[in-house]
Amino acid sequence: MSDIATQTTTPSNSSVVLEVRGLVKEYRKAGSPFKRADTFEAVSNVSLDVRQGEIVCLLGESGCGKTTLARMIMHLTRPTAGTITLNGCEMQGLNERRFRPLRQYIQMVYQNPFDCLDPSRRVGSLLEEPLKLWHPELSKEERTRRISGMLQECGLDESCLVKKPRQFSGGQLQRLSIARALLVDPKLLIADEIVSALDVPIQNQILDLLVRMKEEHGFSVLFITHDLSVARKVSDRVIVMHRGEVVGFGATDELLENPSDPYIRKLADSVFTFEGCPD
Amino acid sequence: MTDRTTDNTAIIDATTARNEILRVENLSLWIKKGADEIQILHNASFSIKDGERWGIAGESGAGKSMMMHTVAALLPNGSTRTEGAILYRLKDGSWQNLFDIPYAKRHEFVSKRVAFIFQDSIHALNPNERIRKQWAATAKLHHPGITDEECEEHLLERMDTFAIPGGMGTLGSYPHQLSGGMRQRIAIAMALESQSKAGAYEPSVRNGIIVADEPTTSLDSISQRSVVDYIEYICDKGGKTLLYVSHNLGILQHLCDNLMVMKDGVIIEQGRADDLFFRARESYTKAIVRETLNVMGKTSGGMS
Repeated sequence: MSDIATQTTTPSNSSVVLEVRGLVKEYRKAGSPFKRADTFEAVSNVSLDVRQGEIVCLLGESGCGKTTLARMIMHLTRPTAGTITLNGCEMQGLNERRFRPLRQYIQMVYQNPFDCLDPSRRVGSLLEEPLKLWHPELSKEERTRRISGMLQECGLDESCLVKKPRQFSGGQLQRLSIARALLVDPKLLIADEIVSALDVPIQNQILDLLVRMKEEHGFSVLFITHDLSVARKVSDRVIVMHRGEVVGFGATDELLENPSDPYIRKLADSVFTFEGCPD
Repeated sequence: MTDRTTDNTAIIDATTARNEILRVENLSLWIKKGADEIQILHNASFSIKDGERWGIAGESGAGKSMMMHTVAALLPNGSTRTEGAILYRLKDGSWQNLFDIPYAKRHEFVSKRVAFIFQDSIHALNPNERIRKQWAATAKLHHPGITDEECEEHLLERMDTFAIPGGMGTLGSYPHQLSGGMRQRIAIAMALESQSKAGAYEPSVRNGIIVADEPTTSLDSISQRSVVDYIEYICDKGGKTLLYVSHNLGILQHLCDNLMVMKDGVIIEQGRADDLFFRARESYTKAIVRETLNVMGKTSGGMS
């Protein structure tokens, strides 16, 4: 299985940020006193690499194990087997206390920004919290300076600091979530379906923002999506998952233009294309 | 605003053909919020002919859904105020204004003509009842007097008609046990129950309108394709008129012949879909075409 991870099309001189080998997650199905519970493999034997400064797309339909994989990488779900190495540091087997120092290097942006920002708190305090936690040495002024700088980079202004999350649109909230994740300077950003709840023009803006921020800050992105056109737009490499297994991997254009695997072909064929002329 | 309204009315006057089945004239909608009223729709006018497929495009909050909910008499009476007319064509060729019908009877009137498919099928189905129970209840509502055996047979027949696999197993499942695409198919079949003929098991009667309010937004691309193909199949088979609300221009291009574009509660442009996609007049339409091309523009080779 390790051949999957080593066969990458990116230059091998760039360093590996995330290395996943043979990752398995089994869930027990409901059993009864008279019957042993069956197990269900949500993720089976997945290996992948994410290199410095690249966007790797994890593509697959609902229920194929994308989010379970992301949760294991985030140390939110304990894997049944396999290893996860972040920046050369093995993560599985670490307890929460030992893992905590690593947490700032790996940040996640979720699908629904309305659900992941505390609705009762103002944006200013929501953005300040990660800085207080990871950089307690910073003065109040320094925190404010960093926050307003980051907001500006993400296309927002300081007036939003006193607002509450419900006063923003979905696209603006997603900008805020990205700003919040990037404040602590992560090595790896996991973006779990971050644009699927947004309109097409707003999707474009958020994807452009993500790519621009990646260029400027040099972090890597594991981009989870079921949308092929989004994958094609942002990613350097794509990994296709189906029923918990990796069924295809490679450079985005190569893999999606001439799919050999029947599932990838089906996935590619299911996409609606659009023709038009704006002028 | 005024010139747009006259523009729309002109379109309607020019198309007073015999086979028109739905006409909306200068429809405005206000939602009451405390002492204030917020205007959601501004003088919307359009006319739908039998068998036409209309796409309704626009970003979130443009009023697409609210317009369709108004047309299908799904809005609560107390908290909304409307002006204008929604005219449905009756069998004898005369027109019936929805607002002339007492509020309590409007929904019954509309449900015989319009099948409404909601955005999220998991919320359209009762999570505590097996599919058989809730579908049978809908069938019995529209076909009073049908026996349990006949009803069971009717459901299996309908599943066959609507290409829903699984037979008895599917009927015995709870909504959460089925995939999103499958649930959406069942929700569509149930929505079309009002237009079925019990006993005769005809797939549909004519003049039925399907209103689909972003039915695939929460689905992944494979299920999305299957639901869209499915709606197309039903329209082809039953000669249905379709009003499909979506912000995905790719789907609308695939499915619809005509298109209206909404922005801030105003229908800013309507006409043949190809005209709008390739020769739009309004700058907003051009902008959404440009954005969509940017994300999902056609690439050479490989893709359908």
